[in-house]
Amino acid sequence: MDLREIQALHAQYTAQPVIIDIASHTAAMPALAAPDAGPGARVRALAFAGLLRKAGKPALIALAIAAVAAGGGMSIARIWRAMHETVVAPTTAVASAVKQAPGSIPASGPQGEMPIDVNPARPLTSSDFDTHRPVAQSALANVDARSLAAANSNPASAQTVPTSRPAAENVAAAASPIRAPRQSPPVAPVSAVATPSPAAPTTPPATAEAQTRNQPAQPSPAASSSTTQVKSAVSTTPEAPRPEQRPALRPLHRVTRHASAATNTETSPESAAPAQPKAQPAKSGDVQLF
Amino acid sequence: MKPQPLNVTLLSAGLSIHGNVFLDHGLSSFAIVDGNIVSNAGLLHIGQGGMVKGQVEGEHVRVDGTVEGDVHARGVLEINGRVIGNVYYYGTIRLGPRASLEGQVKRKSDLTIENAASNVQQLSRTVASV
Repeated sequence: MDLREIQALHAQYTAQPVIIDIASHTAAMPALAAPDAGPGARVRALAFAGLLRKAGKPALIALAIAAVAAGGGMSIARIWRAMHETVVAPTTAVASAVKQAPGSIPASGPQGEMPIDVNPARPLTSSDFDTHRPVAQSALANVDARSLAAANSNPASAQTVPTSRPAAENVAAAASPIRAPRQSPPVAPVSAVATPSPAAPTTPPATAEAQTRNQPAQPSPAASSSTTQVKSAVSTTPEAPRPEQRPALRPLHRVTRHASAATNTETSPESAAPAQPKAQPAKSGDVQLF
Repeated sequence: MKPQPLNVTLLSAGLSIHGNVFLDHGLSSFAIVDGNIVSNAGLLHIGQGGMVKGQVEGEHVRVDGTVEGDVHARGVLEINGRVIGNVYYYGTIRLGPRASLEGQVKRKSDLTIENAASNVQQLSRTVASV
């Protein structure tokens, strides 16, 4: 290897001077599109997408808060509406009733004792449930304001309706099992019939004892007759019209009857004889069937 | 920019050097060197018939002779002779048809200063002593 070859070899690895020709570089570069006055639609879309990405979570949170607020507002509006209807409707009904018939309340007479006539103006029939009511009642209002207003506006009709109840309905109502507990008070006529027996305590005990001594001879026919009489009375009492009885005073009559019965039972221990033979003389005072 | 003049050192055959050789330019060695050869720039050329018994470190290294030690090349490494030792290179490596390697070839991705901590300690000691 001579010197020239060595020089050529080293020349291959020597650092070559770097010449930077900016003019030729710029001339070799491809022509760029002239910039527009404003950003292009693509740039705007990219910027909008970036904004959406950046504001994604806050937007979702805001939407959730708005939805919760809207739901709460709707529920509060419903509650307020329901409360408004339930509170205002009775006052308006009372006001209308006062305006329409101010003198009707004292004229109600026997029903004036009841502050609110809860009974409907007319008895409920199947047609009431078949007909479709256009006005939907609120869930919280159990009392129909219109019926209340109608009942207060014409109390005369409300009074006349029970009297105009047909006899067939009365018979059906009496035969219905719901009337069964109410049948027990008519059984009270047994004690009511026995109420004349309080006269027995007024009578001297000697006479009472004499009666009790005389009575045992005829207890069985009298008892049977009295039971049949009571049954007939029970069967006839529901059919008998009772226009004078007021529904509000019925419990009072019952109480008095029970009290009298209780006094009878309390007084009965005075006599050694059982209660049945003592009631029999009172039944004997009734009309004998035979 | 003016091209720098070619600066190359030539160690011809029949020369024997016992010790390290440091250069800041290229070298072509056809001699026997019993030591390390370090060249900071240019080509470090171990010509055919030349022998180095030590570490060879240069910018570009071309081995046509025999090297009994590690070879470090920061640029191009071309081996056409015989290397008994490990080869470390940072750029490219080229093995000729008559290359003979007895060691490991490793490529390093970055330049590291070996024994940097010890050098710093030595510097600090010297400063403190002064």
